Amino acid sequence: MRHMEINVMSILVDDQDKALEFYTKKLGFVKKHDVPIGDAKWLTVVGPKNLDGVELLLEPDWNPMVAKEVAAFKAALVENGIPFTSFACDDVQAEYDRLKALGVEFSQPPMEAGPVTIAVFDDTCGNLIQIAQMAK
Amino acid sequence: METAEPTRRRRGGCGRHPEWELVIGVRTQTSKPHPTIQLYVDESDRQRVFHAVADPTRRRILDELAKRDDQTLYELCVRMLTDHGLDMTRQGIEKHLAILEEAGLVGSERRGKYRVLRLDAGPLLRDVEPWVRRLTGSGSER
Repeated sequence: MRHMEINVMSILVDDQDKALEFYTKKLGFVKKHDVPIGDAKWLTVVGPKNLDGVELLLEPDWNPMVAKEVAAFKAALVENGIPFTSFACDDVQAEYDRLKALGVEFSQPPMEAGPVTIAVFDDTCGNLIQIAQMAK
Repeated sequence: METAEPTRRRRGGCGRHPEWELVIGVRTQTSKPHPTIQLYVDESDRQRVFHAVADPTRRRILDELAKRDDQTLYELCVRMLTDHGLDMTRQGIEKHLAILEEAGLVGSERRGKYRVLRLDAGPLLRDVEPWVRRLTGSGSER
């Protein structure tokens, strides 16, 4: 039977260079593809322990056709503390401590929520990101 | 056939926090006096506080906000969902928050990029606590 696989998910960033810096140097992801397309790039990163896993596309948010609407959408999420997406990690508290030391700003410190522990930080590119750890 | 012809009138003061007595009468075709319904509408701050805490969901919101200062709406929604199994829409929570803010029990302010929520127990101490103490006879306000 034919089927599809999820190979890329995208996040809308206000500056691709700044995003690459943050997602690799601070978060620890690894650059996978960096292909120029016009004045932007097809720019993806992957998790360091799963180089063939799902790629995160750092996609420009300034497409003039939708830039205004995208900006309003991103601002409304941030204002209410709502993360755009969520990444898995082994130890939310340790990751919180590590990222805090690197100057990353959290809108929500680690908190137990039923079977998961979550925290939410600012990716400096206009998004909030949640990290989540399943209870062992 | 009876035709209901509601008449309304207001009695009482009309100050900054008016406590109105609203009289709603219904007149029938035969013009016989009909029992009137008297509705007391208390629009005071105190009433807003009691109204706000009369609802169980709003009391849970206050309980959750008491656990940590400066929660975002997202954090409050997560807490309501995980601690109480309440899958509320954001609009549903907003409606309750508006009533709590109107009563002065919840404040919201912008902190950087975020809007954060904070519990203010002041109105409870002002309006509820003296009343409870008076009834239970445990205070000086007897």
